[in-house]
Amino acid sequence: MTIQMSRAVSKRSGVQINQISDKSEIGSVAADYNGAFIGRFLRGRIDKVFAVTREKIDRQLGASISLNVSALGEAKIQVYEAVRYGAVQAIVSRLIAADHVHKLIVATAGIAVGEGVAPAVWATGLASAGLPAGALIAFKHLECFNDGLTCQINAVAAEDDQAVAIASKIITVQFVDPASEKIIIGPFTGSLDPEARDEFNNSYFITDVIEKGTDLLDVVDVASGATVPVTSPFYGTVNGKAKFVSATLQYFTEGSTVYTSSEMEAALDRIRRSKPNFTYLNAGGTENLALLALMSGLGKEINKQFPFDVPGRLNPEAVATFIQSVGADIKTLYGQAFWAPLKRDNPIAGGKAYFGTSGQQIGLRCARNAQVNSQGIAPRNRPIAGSDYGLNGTNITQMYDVNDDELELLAENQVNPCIFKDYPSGSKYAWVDSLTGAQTTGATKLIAVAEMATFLDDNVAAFAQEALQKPMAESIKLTLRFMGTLCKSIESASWLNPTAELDGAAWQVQVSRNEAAPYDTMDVKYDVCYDGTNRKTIGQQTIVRQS
Amino acid sequence: MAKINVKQGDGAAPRNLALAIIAGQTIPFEATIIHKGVKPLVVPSSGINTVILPGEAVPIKIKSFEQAWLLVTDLATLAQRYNNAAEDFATITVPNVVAAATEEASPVLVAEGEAPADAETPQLTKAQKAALKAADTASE
Repeated sequence: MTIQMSRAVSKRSGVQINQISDKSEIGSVAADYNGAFIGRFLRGRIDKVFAVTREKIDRQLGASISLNVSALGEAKIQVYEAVRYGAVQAIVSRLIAADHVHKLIVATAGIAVGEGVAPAVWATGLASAGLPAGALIAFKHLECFNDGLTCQINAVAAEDDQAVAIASKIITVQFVDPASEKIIIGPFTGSLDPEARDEFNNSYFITDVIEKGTDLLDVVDVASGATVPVTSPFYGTVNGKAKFVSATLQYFTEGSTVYTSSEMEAALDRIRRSKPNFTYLNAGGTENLALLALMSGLGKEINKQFPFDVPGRLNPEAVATFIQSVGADIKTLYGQAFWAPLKRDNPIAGGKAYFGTSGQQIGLRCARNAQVNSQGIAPRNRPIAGSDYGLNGTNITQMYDVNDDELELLAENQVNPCIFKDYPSGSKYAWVDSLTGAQTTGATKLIAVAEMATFLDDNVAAFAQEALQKPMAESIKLTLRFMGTLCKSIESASWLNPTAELDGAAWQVQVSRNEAAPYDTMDVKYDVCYDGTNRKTIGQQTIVRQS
Repeated sequence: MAKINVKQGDGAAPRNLALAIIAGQTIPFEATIIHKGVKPLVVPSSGINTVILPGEAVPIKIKSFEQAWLLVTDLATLAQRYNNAAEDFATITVPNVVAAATEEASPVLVAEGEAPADAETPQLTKAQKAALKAADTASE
């Protein structure tokens, strides 16, 4: 085959074809199917957020806690319902108190020094104490399992040139979930010698092998010159199988399950620093006023909607007072309150109890967001409310019958009830309203508008990031083109409504140099008129007399 | 009866007040809660499902150290929310405990009928700390 082109032609005669340039990007925010959750869980890393999927929810968050045991068990229900009903993954920030203790997992050769008793092969130790005498290697398991971790180690048998067994530097470690008894980390085989290389001349040092394979386990230290003697209980094989020594270690103590302001702030900060993007925030059904106020403030700060639950056991008057108690931060288009005076079966731990519906809201919204049209736009103008969406659950009982005056009070306080409703298409427990916390008669009082407006802002912000550090004229051209495509797309999805304010158009966009700082600042202005949601229908029948 | 006052700002470090609430008590125990807010309040951690009117003493059941902690943080948050600077924005009245413990707990526990004490962060004695620690452990 003859190559007809080159990538660089200077003085010679030839054909230079440049790298393919893709300028067709229309921008997207790959976060429409995720929600971020905060709460107390029995497992989960505490240094940053982590993504939880439906398949691994027990493995990643630990066992489910009955609501009869602790109200904090609701956080996992909210995560479960979100991933069960449509969220691709939940981004979880685990609440943790400062008095937790996170010990190292230490492996020794299990050989007695002198005439003493042989030490346990596996033990825990404080990081501040350093590597104890006789230790081979120390690990830190970052998933912080309250119920411990089963650790297993084997040393690969070694021989000298006369086929005599000698001390080995090669170990295999693996870690087993004590609940499911499945290997969840490893196996990793590597050398205790930092200089070791494999057949491809890559590092074979156990630290490098583990770091390459997982970010759930840190190798904190490897003893200098460490080897595993032939007499070690995990040296070599037995009956043709690698001889492992196994122990379940309680290396993590959670500490208090009540949290100070600074501990809650720290959990919020982990969400703020989250690398996986997300669209919704959730407080795991908490009744903690301080945490709700903090979360609603975060939603406003980072342009994320915050569906939250008002305790279902409260009566409507108390619900209104509760909402007023949370404060001004909740009174924005980001804060969206749901009240379900319902008892239903706890889907993960059994028993019938009050718990919120915000996690399921997020799941259903994510499922809806996945239903994009040919231009990539989801029906976000369709709130998860009314006859199209029923609450999923079993053995549901409504514990409080709401009258019209109370529904008025709830709407006045921007609370969306989830109650039994007899629609002609069928009876169901439904979210009968879709209000944001915004205290306005304008469009932002509607969840549908909040959905569309936050989507638009997220997309504009994401593209604007791409346009940074490009020449100004090019940035303006690219951004204008992007905005035109985006606005046409959302108009085609029936999100917008033409208005006389925009001379009969549904949107207008202006991208230009900033007048005060024309060299380094670009202004992007976009006016849109959103379609609304029919919350109230007024009919009037007039009977006329016979002529 | 002994009274524990909660004010704006107490939510930042609620441990000592939460310990004072349960000190010497056998969990669960009954207490009363009263607040000086201008409007009725809902205090989720109180277990009361209706509003609590200003000045109305409402009986509540305290079932754990965690609940006592949340009572302090909820009430402090409400004081902050309504910008109420009263030192005794809310008062939790708990049954008297054994004399020695009550006397030692004087920085935070005020005998009924006396003027409300300044609700500053209490300084606990060594013996009192030990008693509170024991109660803390029992409740957890």
